[in-house]
Amino acid sequence: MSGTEHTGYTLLTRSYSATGTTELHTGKHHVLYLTREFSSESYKRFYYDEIHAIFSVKTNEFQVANAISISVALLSLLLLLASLSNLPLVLGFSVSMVTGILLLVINLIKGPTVRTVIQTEVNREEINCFRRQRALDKILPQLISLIQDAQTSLVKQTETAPVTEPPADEAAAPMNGDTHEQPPS
Amino acid sequence: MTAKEVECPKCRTKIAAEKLAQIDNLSCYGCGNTLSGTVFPAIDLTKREKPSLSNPATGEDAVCFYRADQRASTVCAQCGLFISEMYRVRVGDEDFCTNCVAKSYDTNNIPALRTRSSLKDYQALLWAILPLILFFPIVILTAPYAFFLVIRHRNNTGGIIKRSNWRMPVAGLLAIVEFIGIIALGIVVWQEMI
Repeated sequence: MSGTEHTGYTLLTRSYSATGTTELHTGKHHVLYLTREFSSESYKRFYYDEIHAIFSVKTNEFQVANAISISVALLSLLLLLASLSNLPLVLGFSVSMVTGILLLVINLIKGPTVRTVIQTEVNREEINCFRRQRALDKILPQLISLIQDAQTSLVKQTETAPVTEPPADEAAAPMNGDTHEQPPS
Repeated sequence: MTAKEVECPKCRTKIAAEKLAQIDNLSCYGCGNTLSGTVFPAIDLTKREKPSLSNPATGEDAVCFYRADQRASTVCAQCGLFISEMYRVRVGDEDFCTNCVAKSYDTNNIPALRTRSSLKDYQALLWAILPLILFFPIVILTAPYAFFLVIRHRNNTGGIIKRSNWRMPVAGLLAIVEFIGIIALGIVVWQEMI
């Protein structure tokens, strides 16, 4: 079997961090959460009809990053004003001040930070692609509509059919003599 | 955690899912941060309908490979065996037997169930670039290995997601240049010595 299978996934969002890349792709039946570290990828699949909830909580990383950037910029400005006669110091503090301002602007553009979780019956996964409220607001409606479409039929099926338990003897049915191989449980 | 609860991602306080569904910006009882999200109908369907899986075979029916008293309902997409409903695992549009699914966790050979992949293009690039940064003389070993990876996996770079394919040619080119460079350097040093 071929190792590379391009099975019709569509990239929803991608985020980069120091440890690697995380991506969220939508497939026909599931959403694929991909984590890439150095030269390997790991995958987690969340089937649309099994997702219980997607929710997020606001975090204070945004405010902390803003405070640090402003502090760096202001401190650099003060030191710059204090050492106007020394050209190398002026250059160094100018660079650090501009860096602080740039980081502040980038953080403000990216917007508030959140932690987002996809929950299923057996799993609860934090999605690192959704670390910003803005990205979440942009991407999440697409994902929600896919999940709701998949679960609409599920609700209809459940409403029409009563909940039934399998017969007790079925699960514990003995293997008969013609059995070729018993798969691992 | 019960099925109808969600956990605050920050403080792990359990919150009733219906509260999250009803209130737009809910304050977490534990940390006070604002929670928002969507709860889907599947959370209420913890007891799904479980149809009877037993389907005894009659005289001329094809029978399940694993249970000869059961009628085969489908063919495993991986191994091709006839399997009954009891041994069928549906993954997307395909049916697999329980044996193949169990094996796939070790062998990683069913793409629909694959949980990890080794990316050969990234590896080749890493082997071609790292020696340049760390310790140049070992390119005599790493450049041929990077070139081998490029040739061996040129059509199959690993992974189930389509990626841009610039890494393999770049790694190959870099490996060739490095190898020629180190040979040339070796010749120059040798000529200097004699």
